[in-house]
Amino acid sequence: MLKLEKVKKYFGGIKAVDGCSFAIAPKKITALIGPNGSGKTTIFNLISGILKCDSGRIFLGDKNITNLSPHKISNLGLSRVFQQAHLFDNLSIEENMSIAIDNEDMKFVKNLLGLNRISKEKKQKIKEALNKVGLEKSPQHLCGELSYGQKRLVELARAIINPHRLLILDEPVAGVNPKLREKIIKILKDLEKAGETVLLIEHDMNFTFSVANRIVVMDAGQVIAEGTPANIKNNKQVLEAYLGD
Amino acid sequence: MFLQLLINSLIAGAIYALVASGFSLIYSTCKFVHFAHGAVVAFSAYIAYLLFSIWGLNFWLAVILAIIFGAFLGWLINVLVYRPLRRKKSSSVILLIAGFATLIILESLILMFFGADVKTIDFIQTAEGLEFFGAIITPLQIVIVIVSVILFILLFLLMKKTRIGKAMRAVADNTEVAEIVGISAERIHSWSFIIGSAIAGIGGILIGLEQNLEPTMGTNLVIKGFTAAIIGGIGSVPGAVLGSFLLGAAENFGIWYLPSGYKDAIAFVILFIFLLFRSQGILGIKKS
Repeated sequence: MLKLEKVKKYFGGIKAVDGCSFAIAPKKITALIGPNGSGKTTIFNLISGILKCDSGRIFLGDKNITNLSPHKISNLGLSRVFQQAHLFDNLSIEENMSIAIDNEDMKFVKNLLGLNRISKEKKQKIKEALNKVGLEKSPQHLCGELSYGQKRLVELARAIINPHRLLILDEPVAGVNPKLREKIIKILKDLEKAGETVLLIEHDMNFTFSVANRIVVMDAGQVIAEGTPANIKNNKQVLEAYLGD
Repeated sequence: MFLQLLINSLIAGAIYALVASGFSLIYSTCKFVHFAHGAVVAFSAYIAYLLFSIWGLNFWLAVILAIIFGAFLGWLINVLVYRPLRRKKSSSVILLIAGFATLIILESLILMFFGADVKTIDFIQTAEGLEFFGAIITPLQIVIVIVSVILFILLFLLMKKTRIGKAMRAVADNTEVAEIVGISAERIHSWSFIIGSAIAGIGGILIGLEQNLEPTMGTNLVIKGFTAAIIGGIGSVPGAVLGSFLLGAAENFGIWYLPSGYKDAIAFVILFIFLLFRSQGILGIKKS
């Protein structure tokens, strides 16, 4: 589903990502873990097109998405949740969702004549997605007025309804309360059952081991281990990377 | 006297709002001050003059072509001047200077092609003013106010009800996130320039019908539009419209007490007051 081949990204003399290669299988939840500064978020920014690779290639399915602009990558089937909630604060919850559900049709005349209104089915999908995260009662609320936890849920719901083949989540449970954490775990398990492909970054190891089928471990911009959660737990190199010598 | 000043305020406000709304729309999505907007206003008025008064085209056809020309000119300025600079990650100050340079170049082109002397579009001969409780308003001035109000309602509906309007608000809110959910920010920038410049074109033609044409007419109008946008809250289209009417009122009621030569000074004093004490304007949100 997603394949990285010898991807490099340097910031001046800092090797943020240094020849990173890995692939993730479809219909699985894969976790990308590693100590702070190991290059995980940089990898997400390279996959989603926010940063450009210095070298190497990234494939989404069989399509080379290396250095394409973020909107093109999104329209090819990538949906993302950021580390900090990234919403359109001046738009309502419903507007945030409706923008994501069908973003490619911006034909001006169609817009002016109102020929591309969001269909009833899509409205229903938005309702269901909001229902899933428990925000169906207040779709007209401005996102800027929501609490941190609610913002994270809206962003997750928006990423889910944004047409995609791959969902990438950057620390989906960072800073959320235990109740919300359980809710997000349930949503992810439901996504897995529905056959979604997910790549996530998370520092919370209990969370990671409870949801991921496969784990990729990074350190100093390189992949140091890959395998099932059970394999990774006992991997000496991984323990050294996390705990030091 | 009060009613006459109120009517004059409405007319001035409507004219400023036609410039400020497009200007503010472009600022909100692109996040830089597009001073060349003034040249689009002036060029559109001159094209209407060229097509109707010199070439003798049907007036309404000339108006439509002049509006299309205004929209095209705005789009072209974005493609030729701003887009290459944005791709080089130029700061908004560089873009502002480029906008000023474009304004001067385009005004010089008007000077070159049409000359420095004042021009008039003679479609409506000076009509008798209508009297309302002792105040005078001409039919053209009524048309200016009505057309402005219709345009603002249409612009509001476009921004609120259509997907392209929502996408514009999304890009205005957070360009990076808009790209992540699949919206091409570049395409939205183009639409902002086209729509904003078309409104400027309509404004230019109406102003051209009401007043005389001169090559530097755009500079004065864009400065007033900018002042109105600051008062209302830069980047907020409803704010720009509100700011325009307030500016029009301040200027016209100000000269009740001061000589009329102080009209521009009143606008700039208000601009300084807002920049010093409420830089986010009336409807703008203060950035922390």
